Order: sequence, then structure tokens, then C-alpha cells
Amino acid sequence: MQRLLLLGLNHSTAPLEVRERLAFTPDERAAALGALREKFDGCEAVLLNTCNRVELYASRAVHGRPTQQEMIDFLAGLRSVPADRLKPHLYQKAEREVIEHLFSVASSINSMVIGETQIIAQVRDAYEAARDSGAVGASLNPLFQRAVAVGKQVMSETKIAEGRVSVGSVAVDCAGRIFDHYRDKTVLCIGAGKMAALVLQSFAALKPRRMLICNRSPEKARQLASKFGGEAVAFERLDDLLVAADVVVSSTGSQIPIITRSRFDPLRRARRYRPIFLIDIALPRDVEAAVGELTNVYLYNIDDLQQVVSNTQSKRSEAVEHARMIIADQVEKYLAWHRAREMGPMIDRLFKRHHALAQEEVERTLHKLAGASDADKEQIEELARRIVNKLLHDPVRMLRDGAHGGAGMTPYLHAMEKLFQLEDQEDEDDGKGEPPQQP
Amino acid sequence: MPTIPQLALLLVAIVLFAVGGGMSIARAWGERPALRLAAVACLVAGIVSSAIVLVWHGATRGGWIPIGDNFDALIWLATLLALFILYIQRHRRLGVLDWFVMPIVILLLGAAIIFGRTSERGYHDVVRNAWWWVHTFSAWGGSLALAIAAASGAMYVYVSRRLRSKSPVGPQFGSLERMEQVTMLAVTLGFALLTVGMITGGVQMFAEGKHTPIAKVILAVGVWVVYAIVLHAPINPSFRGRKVAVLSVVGFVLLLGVLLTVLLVPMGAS
Repeated sequence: MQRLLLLGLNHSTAPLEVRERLAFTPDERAAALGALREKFDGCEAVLLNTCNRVELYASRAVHGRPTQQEMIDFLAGLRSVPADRLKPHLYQKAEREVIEHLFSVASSINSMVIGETQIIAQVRDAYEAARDSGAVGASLNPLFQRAVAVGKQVMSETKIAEGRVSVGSVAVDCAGRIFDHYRDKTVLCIGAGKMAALVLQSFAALKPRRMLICNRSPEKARQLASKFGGEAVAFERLDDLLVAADVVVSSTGSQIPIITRSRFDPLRRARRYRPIFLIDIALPRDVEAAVGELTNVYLYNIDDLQQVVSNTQSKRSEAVEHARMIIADQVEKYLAWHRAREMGPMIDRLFKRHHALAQEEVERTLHKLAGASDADKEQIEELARRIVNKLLHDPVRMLRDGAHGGAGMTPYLHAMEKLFQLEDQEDEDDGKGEPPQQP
Repeated sequence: MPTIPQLALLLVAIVLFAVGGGMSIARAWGERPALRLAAVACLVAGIVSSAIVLVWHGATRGGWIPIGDNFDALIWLATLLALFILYIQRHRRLGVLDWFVMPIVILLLGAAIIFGRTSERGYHDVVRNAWWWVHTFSAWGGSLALAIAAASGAMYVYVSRRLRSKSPVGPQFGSLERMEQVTMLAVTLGFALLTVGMITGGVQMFAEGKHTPIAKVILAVGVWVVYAIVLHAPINPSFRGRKVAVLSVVGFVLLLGVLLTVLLVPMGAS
């Protein structure tokens, strides 16, 4: 039997400074999963990394490794952060709570911006990355497939995404508090990722005088520029671009800030101290926080924008309640399916083991009864089989009823494994079976 | 001297402006069209009440010149400010400017009740003289413009502070860019009128040998210097934005000091 574990932090438990220390690039994520599996043989893992959260999902044998503490040490060691510094920001979950949490995350009700649809793709990306690394198997494969399906169900069956305010529209709204019009304004986009494109789309609708896109990869910059009718410019000209820009959207994958105070301060004179709106949606951040302390500089990072968005969410509380009901229902269905799946092979092993014991005793008895006929032998064998079946009938029926009707069966399963020494036997199920389909 | 019924009507105008201002501020907790309409209705009713007091007072004393005495002058200033609020809300979309201008309007009307009642200051002699006519009108007109600059500057400081602390700012505030434009426009106009007022006042003071309170002269020069600094922002852009806004408010506080010396110290006293 497998045990599900979760270790993570998110926007509500950890500030941006901590989250950005733990942020992973796709390559780093793959390397982390490889290292985890190398260290803890047989462990399955998925690393979910978004701008709001870093979560490590693991599944290992009930009495296997890693423990929660080992997961903390692993994550801290990976990013060279002292575990003690990390611990106050972490949450740890196990078993049912993990499933509830993952379904909530995929449904975006755990997001800072409730109703955002991007989280489904991010959960799927995390799962696919783990699958490609060979880090998921019988336990996490169906769990993540189910989580993505639940996320889609919530989006389609509730009004959670209706009236949703995007980060892009909030950025435009904030810019509207600074600038009166955009006909003489220049919008600069640093980076050419998905988030940058989303925010840029909102600004493109305002028809600014110029839209400049710079990226370390000129080809990506050109693609984004052609999409929004902007100009692709060389990343090396960043200082000149910062002088020209009124609004800057920054979303690069850089691990260190690219707009530092020492870089930007001297540029203000050339800018004639014009107000500038810096939108930093990168994680780790692209703009040093100290830049926001300068006069006429308005710096908003991803948390600031999402906080504004979250203020608009009270209107969708009914939809959130609806989503919670769907999630609760799906958690029960998944658990029932999961228990039934785990129980089948275990019951099979239970019967095999007891029939084998009975057969041993029958053979020993028959050995002593030298004059027994074939009919007598069959009668004795049948007797032993019936006794085993009758002895196991009630406990097995109780287990099956529990699996379909209620929770709390896991301790019984564990107990049975222990008492009847069933846990060391191989589970032949490859775990690729589909979880229950949506009703 | 204003009569008791005139003062009572002026008090009604103050109450209307206060209620209208209160309702306008209440919009910060939720924009409701009915509340906005009621606030505008109170503003208009306050303006009408003030105008009636002006006409009534003019008819009582048999004079048509608008700035006949302190009472008239202060009510005119307050009424013009209130009219400006109406205008700017309609054309410049700085919907909450009244939050900042209304206290000045109420302050001026309150001063009219206090100073108009206790010390009548007739300007009839001086308005016969063109120099003093120009001086009085430019000084009061300048004060009007600078009051608007101060209100807009205060709004700028408030909104800028909210944006920097990542607190929500309602759309009714308009943009910092627009506030800066209004401030600079009002300061430019106010500074020009203030300069004319100071020159004509100074010429008259020396030509006729009349004494003006030294506190008034010092404060007026202080006001002039502050607004001169504000106006040099386009040459030295490091002043633009928050510094200009703060200086506009500081300049107006000094200007209120000038106004107070005008009201408290009799003309000709040293």
C-alpha cells in the first residue's frame, strides 16, 4: 500500500521573498525529481511550481521513505535554504487531505485569483513533467489525471470564472490611476512568456504610441511583437528602453533581478523624472524592490496585483461553494475507487494465503490417512476451502462495504496487511488504470 | 453689515455644502448613482443659497460692486470655488475633487459669517481706484486658482501614497497625470494673478504711503516664492510629481495666513 504525502508553501503561507527562493525552472524541476527518486528508491513524486506555490507531492510505501522531515530537508537542501527558515512557511498533508488539497488547487479555489484557468494547465504541466521523468506511477498517475478532470469540471459546471478579473486587467486599471491616456505612452515588455503576453494583450487594447518587446531570444520577441503590432528590440538596449518606457511589463526567467536600483536610478534624469509603472510578474522577481522606493516609480509585483484581484472575489462566493461541493463529491468518489483498487489485490492475496495454509494442513492430514479414497480426499479439500471462505467472508464483506460507503477503512487495510503479513507481496497492478469517470 | 436672515441663509448654504461633501465622501464605500446625484444637488443648492445671499446683501447695502466688503469677498470666493467643482467634475472627470475643495469652501463661508459680522471692511473707497481694483481682483482670483491647485495637489499626494502602498484607489479620483496637469494649470494662473496683485498692491502701498501689515507682506512673498519653485518644475523635472503637489498645499497654507492678516488687521495699520 502507498501513502500520499504533500509538502508545500503558497501565497497565503509564504511571502514572495521565500517563494522566489524555491522557484524552479523546468530543467531544475526535472533534476529535482531525479534526485528525489535517486535518494528515495520507489518513491513517486510531482513538483508543482507556479508563481503562487511550490508543492511537492510524494507517494511511497506505507512504511517507506521519505518521511515529512526528509522531504523538508530535501527541498531546503535543493535550494540551499536553511530548513528552519523554511519550516514556518510550509504546510504538510497526508492521505485524504492531499487529495482534497490537489483537487482544490486544480479547481483554482486555492488560488489567490479564484477562478483563474491557468492553474489547470500548470497542474497538467507538473504531472507531465513528472511522467516524462519517470517519477509517477501507480499512485500519482491516476491522482493527477483525476485532479485535472475535476479542475475542468469545476470550471465548466460552476460560475467560478465568470466576472473574473485578470491580472492584466488589474494592471491596466492601476496604470489608469497613473496615466490619463496612452496616445503618447510607450509600453515595454521584457520577456516573451505566456504571462507577459496576457498582460501585454490588456495594454495593447489601450493603443499606446509604442509597444516594445525585448527578450534574450530575439525570435520569441519578434513573434510576440508581431502578435500585438509592437517592435522587437534587442535586450542589450534595455537601458535605452527603460528611458523611453512609461509602462514596463517584466516577466523573464532570470534568477537575479535585471532592473536594480543602481541600474535604474541614473536613468531617471534621462527620463526627466517621468512617472513609470513597473509591473513585475516574474518569479523570482525581475525588479529589485528598492526600485519601487524611488520617487515617481510605481512598482507592482505579482502579489500586489493578485491582492487587488482577490478583493473582487466576494461576488463569486456562491460559485466557490458550488465548487467545494463538487470537489467534496469527487474526493469521495476517488477515495472509493482508490480503496477498491487497493483492496482487490489485497483480498486476493488474503484468500490465496489462507487457502495455501489450508491446503498445507489438508495435505498433512491426508498423508496420515493412508487408506482414504479419492472421494474422501476431495471431501476434505472441499471442507478446508469452505472453512477458509466462511472465516474470511464477514471481514471481506465489511471491507468491501466500507470501501464503497464510508471513510476510515485505511487503518483496517493497514492492520490486515500487518496481521496477515500481506504487505511484502508484489502488487501486479501497474497503476495505469483510469480513475472513475465523471458522472 | 449682513442681517441675521442673510447669515441664517449663509448657514444653510454651509450645511448644504457640508452634507453634499459628506455624501460625496460616502461614495468611497460604494459608488451609487443616487448618492452622486444627491451630492450634486446639495452642491447646486449651496451655490444658489450663496448667490441669493450675495444678491440680497448687495440690494440691502445698495451697491452692485461684487467685492464690496469682506462678507461679499469671501462668499464670492467660496461660490466660485463651488462652481469650479461643478465644472471640473463635468469636464475633467476628477470626481472627488470636492472632497478636497469643499472644506475650503466651508472654511471661507464660515469666515464670512465671523468676519463679515464682527468687522465690516468696506472696499468702496479702494475700488474707485483702478490700481486697487486690479489688486483686489487679482489677489482674490489668484487665491481661487491656488485653492484649486492645493486641492488637486492634496489629491495627488493621497492617490500617490495609496498607489505606493498598493491600496485600492477608486476610479473617481482620476489619474495622477490629470491631477498634475490641473495643479500646474491652476498654479500658473494663480501665480500670474498673485504676481499682478502683489505688484499693484506694492505700487499703491508706496505711492499712497499706506502701510500694510508686515506679516501679510512676508507671507505673500513666501507664497510667491513657493509657487515660483512649483512653476520651475518643467525646467527642473526632479521637482515634478509629489514635490509639486506638496508645495502647492504648503503655498496655499501660507496664502490662508495672508488672508487671515487681511481679515484681522485693519487696512492702513502697520
